[in-house]
Amino acid sequence: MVFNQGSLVIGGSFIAALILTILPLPQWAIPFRPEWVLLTLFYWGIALPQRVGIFSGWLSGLLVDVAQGMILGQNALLFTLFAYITSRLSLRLRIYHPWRQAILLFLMALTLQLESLIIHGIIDTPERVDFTLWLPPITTMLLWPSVLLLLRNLRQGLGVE
Amino acid sequence: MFLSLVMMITDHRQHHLEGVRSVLSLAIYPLQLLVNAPVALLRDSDETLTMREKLVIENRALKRQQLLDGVKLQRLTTLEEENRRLRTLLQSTRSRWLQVMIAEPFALDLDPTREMLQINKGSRHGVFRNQAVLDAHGVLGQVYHTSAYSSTIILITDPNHSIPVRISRNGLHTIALGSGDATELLIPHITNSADVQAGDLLVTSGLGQTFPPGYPVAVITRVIKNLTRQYAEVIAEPTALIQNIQELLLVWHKESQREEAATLPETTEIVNQ
Repeated sequence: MVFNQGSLVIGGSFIAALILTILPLPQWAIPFRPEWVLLTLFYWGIALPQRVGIFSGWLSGLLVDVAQGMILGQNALLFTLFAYITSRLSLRLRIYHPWRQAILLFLMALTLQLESLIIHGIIDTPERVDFTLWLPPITTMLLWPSVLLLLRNLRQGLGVE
Repeated sequence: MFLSLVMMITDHRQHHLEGVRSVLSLAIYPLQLLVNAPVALLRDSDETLTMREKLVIENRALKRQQLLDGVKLQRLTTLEEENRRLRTLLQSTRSRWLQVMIAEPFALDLDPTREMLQINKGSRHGVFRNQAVLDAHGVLGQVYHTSAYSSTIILITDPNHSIPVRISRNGLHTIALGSGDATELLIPHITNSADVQAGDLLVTSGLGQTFPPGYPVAVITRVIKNLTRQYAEVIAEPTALIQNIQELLLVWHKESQREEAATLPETTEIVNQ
């Protein structure tokens, strides 16, 4: 990766997403927190598949693991897979309607939740399963159109290729 | 992907990846400082902008409290002296000196399924894995991960945490498990006939070597005796202010591996019991 303005924008958006992931929220709002890094990864994976691919997915997932104090690799594992899917299918995904992309994001975020359940079930006491499981996928899905607009304007405004 | 899988397994099974984790934590540290900055600023400005009147009132209250504590401490000194004499008679060599270091929590949200906390002291300050963490009212938890300038604390209310305790009234040994709820600890395996009442204080028993003995952990709030089951359902509430942690104390034994940290200006010495 060449260190030019583009890398700064991409890296900056990932850092912003990471900050949003650990930003303290009031107690009631915590279950609603969307998967910010996943949203960012998804956008760049579609827009610039030649620059943001499997390695970026793995690294960003690992940073989320460390930032949130999870077991190392929990997010990295699936983020790698998602980065692969998005960059591989980027041409097709690009022409989808934003809501269809959002449904894909919903499934990805849900997979992350299920993975967390499985991991907790294997290594330590299973967590309680209730409706909060569905909240992050839903908020992630609903936020996608605005994130798409924001990052697209950012990318086109700054001419990142 | 395989790398992530292997990482997860090694991270869980052994602790080889503590190094990797602490390096990555260091990379994230500036972000954490950034997120924490507004909260820290608010706290500092709250200190400088408090009304004079309020300060005077607070000062008076604190002086009174100090006076009361001083009186209690006088009695404690005598007791301690007596305790030491008795211990010499019993030829017990257990050292009672503890070192403490004060740390502050970062305002960060971690994994929502766990009860964890990030603090502003790391291995550079002498923090080590499994170190006991207290606040002014009781036990908070223990150190889970360390990196150079920050570390992660696992609270006693985390569903994966358990702490050996003893009921201070009758010396009954048991374990307190975290429930995932900041106001509840579960006490398993208490038989229906056991002498346990609501209001009993649970203190650390010192078994397992992680926590120093004799510190308050929780107060039993509910004992539901169900004769159709083998064990009674016992719920306790932590005495430490887990929902509103402002400052916390990291504790270690003076003669243990952290002797060099004792020279840091932030550390003070206290006498235990």
